[in-house]
Amino acid sequence: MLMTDSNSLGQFEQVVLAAILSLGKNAYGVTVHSKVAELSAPKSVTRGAVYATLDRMEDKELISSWLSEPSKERGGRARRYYRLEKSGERALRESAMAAKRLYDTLARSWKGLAWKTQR
Amino acid sequence: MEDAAVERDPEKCVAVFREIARQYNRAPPAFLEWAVERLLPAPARENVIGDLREIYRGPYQYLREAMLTVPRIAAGHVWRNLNLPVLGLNGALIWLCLAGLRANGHSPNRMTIALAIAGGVTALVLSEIYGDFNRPTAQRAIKGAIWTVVLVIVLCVWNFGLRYQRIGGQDYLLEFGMLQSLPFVLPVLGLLRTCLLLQSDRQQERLGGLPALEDEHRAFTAAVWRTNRMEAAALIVGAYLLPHMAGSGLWLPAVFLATAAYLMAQTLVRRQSETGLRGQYRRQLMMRRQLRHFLTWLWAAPFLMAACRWLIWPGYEQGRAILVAFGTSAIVSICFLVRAADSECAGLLRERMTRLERAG
Repeated sequence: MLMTDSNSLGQFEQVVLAAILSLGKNAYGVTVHSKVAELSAPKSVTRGAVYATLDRMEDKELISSWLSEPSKERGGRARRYYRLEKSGERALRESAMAAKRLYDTLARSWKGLAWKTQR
Repeated sequence: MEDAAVERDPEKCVAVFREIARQYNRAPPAFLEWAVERLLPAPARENVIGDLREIYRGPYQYLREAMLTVPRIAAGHVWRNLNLPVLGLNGALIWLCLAGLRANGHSPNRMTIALAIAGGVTALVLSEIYGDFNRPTAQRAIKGAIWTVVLVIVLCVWNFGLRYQRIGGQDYLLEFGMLQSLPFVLPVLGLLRTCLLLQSDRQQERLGGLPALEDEHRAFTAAVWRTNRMEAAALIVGAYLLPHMAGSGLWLPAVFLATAAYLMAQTLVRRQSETGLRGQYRRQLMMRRQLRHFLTWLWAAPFLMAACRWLIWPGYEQGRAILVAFGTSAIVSICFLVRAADSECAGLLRERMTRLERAG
């Protein structure tokens, strides 16, 4: 039932994990969505997709979450904070290494490949 | 320049402060927020509604964000809560009830049965994600008892009324007596409900004393293992006795046996890491709640079937309204008690899940 195999990490999951990692202690719904949107630009990302992915990754035990104290500016509602677990960090590292290997291979084949995005 | 002007002019200063306060206090219209909150699955309500309020810029933006967010979250929660074996057993129970109707002359066609099963299972899935599983307050519990008695009285008078009987006959007098005595059933139901509430409170206090997650989970798995085996044994005995007592066919015993097999096969493996344990425990609690919901109704099914078989149907066939009235009252009372027991159990499990989420 549990899936901790990093090979099964989807591209969007990698982006969400990277967003949580970069946000550190401030990773909750709003900030995670903003970061994911920034990382996925120019593709737009809906908030619902981010929440669904966060739930799924929590089931896979790649991340964990907890509720903060309710705050007034949120109408007395709590924030759900997320953090990466060891298995999540491992999966993300393996995904990054795979991406690096892919890049190196392409760089060797296509001489002069640089980190440029096409607009 | 402008800042300096604001400093000199108190009215401008007040206006600036008002604008800041307005920005700070901006909130979506109460009705809109209430509607979105109802559409969100219960476990996601608090944080998602809070997030949506935090990014609120106007009603249209809020509505757009809600429309893009809610369906994905709802679909995700349906998928997460899907417990196929228990849903299958629930479907079998619904089918059994409808097959029972067919055996007694009311023959709904296959399409009706299929639609009823699909509708019932869908309602169960939706109630899992939208349902409020908190334990009811004492006030709500007593209100439930009052409404049960009112429903029984209304059913007795309206559906199986005195109009079918000869005034002064034996059945007439019996039913008249029953109607008069029904209000006195209320304290009994109220007392039973209160006992359930108190028992749950005591159970909750006992659980609250457990020190660590690991200990709590160990106690939970041990209790589940023990209860599962005891309940499986009881189900096997029940499956043997059922054809003699409730007069059910072989289908209900078959569901009993299938459930016993499922209970025996269920194993709760413990994770090593605390995070894994917390997530796993939360899922196990959720699945336990679904299973207990089904089991409570499964245990009630023979009594409901017996009430139908020995009271309601003979009452209809012989034209004796008193039997029908007794049968209906029994069914409503059983349903009330089963629902009360189920909501207490689900509420306790829900409270444990909430505590786990807060303790992250």
